Amino acid sequence: MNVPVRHLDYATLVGYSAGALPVAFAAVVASHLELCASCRAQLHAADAIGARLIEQQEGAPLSASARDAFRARLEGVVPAPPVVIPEPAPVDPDLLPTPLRPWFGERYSTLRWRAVGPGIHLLRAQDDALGAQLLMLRTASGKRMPMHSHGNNELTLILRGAYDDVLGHFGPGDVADLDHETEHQPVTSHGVPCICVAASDAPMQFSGWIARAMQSVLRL
Amino acid sequence: MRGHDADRLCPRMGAWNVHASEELLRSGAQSRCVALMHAPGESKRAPAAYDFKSPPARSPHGAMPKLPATAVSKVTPLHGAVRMSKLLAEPAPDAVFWSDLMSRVAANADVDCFMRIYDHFAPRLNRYLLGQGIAPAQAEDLVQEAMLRLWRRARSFDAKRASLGTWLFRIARNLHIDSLRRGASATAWPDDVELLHDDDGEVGASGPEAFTDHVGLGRAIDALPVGQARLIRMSYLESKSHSEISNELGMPLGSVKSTLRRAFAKLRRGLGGEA
Repeated sequence: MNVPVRHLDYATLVGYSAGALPVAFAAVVASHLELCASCRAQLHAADAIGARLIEQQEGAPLSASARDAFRARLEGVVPAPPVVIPEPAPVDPDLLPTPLRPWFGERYSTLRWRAVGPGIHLLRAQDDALGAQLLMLRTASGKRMPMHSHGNNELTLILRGAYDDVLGHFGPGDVADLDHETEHQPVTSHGVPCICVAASDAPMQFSGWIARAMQSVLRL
Repeated sequence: MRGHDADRLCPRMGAWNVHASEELLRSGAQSRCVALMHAPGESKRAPAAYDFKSPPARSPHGAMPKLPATAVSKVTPLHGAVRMSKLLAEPAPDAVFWSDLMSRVAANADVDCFMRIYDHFAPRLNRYLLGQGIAPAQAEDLVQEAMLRLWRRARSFDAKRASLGTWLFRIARNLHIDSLRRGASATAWPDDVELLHDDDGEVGASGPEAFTDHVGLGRAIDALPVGQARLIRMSYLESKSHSEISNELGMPLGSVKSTLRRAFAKLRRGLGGEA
């Protein structure tokens, strides 16, 4: 089964369409969708599948008064004029993807990074509703990250800069949709620092005692 | 009534029954209209006469809006009901039918038309929301809210971009997610209208929602192997995450994901797109 590299795994798309992903993952998925037309087309198919499944089911009757109550509500409401979606404004490179703003703010320039190691900065979203970890990571260019694998699922979206690992080269807008079978050691490209946002439903597992010691300090 | 009159009232009939006799074509066309006008649970009152001077927008497949109330009075309801079950065995025209109704709702704020949409979709949305584990009273509130949102936004509906069913699914799903996160951070899901008005290049007439593809999707769902169908249903109809499915079925997470992947690829092909 070929899994699309740099795009969303079909299983992730189905979960998103079904509303079955933890919010932290949904936020990363939605951010990628904002940037990727081909995944948006795949999502459209996933939504059509969900709709068809629901239509195939036999309905569950509403309460006896529901229909009349609804009809009465309609009488007082006029359908709104067609929604006009504005032409996309010129992209302001300082703006974060819309789905991330509730947790991280609007602009890269106002992010309050916390240094967690040489060349590595971190921001962790604080919200119990996320259902999983959601963090942003800024890694200086040309830097080797510790070797690690993932407990269950990790979904990473590259926002700026780039890195290379065993799966290939990942640049802005690409996602790495990984599970515990993948152990990798990203190396950031030369040029600008690499900024990623990642959702993870279990702590990363680092190989090597230095990295493990670092993990206990960083709570990664 | 002459044959071409029947065609004008229910133009799709011609396409379905190319080989049928003119007689069959006529009666089929009329009885479908009758049967649909008296959908279950609906009052027997005929809808307001259709105004041919200012017809609603044409639907994308080119069908004329239909159903002047006077045209159907000669057909007996019983005859109509029998025809109806045969005609509705084919799922594709339903998507066309609903989009026609939506055009009329958009053009005339036609409450009777909208209530037909309600009678079909509201109980199904209710079943869907109950399946998500919501209490019945709250599920009903969400159904009413979803249908009201559909009414408010009827004029934004564009059948070229998504079927009515798909749009309603998005509305109901987003309302459900928002209700779970009341007061928490804003939704990570884009608004359904934004989704509806996504790039033309990706979701055009040849896109995944082209009407004929719904037949293929229905067949592809029916043809899924039991295991794949089960996981797809657990995902959509019970909103189970991959980890929850894995725990519940004692199935490794990797297998859950690969099974869903295979199922999605098959259904995507059924829709007419590549996967």
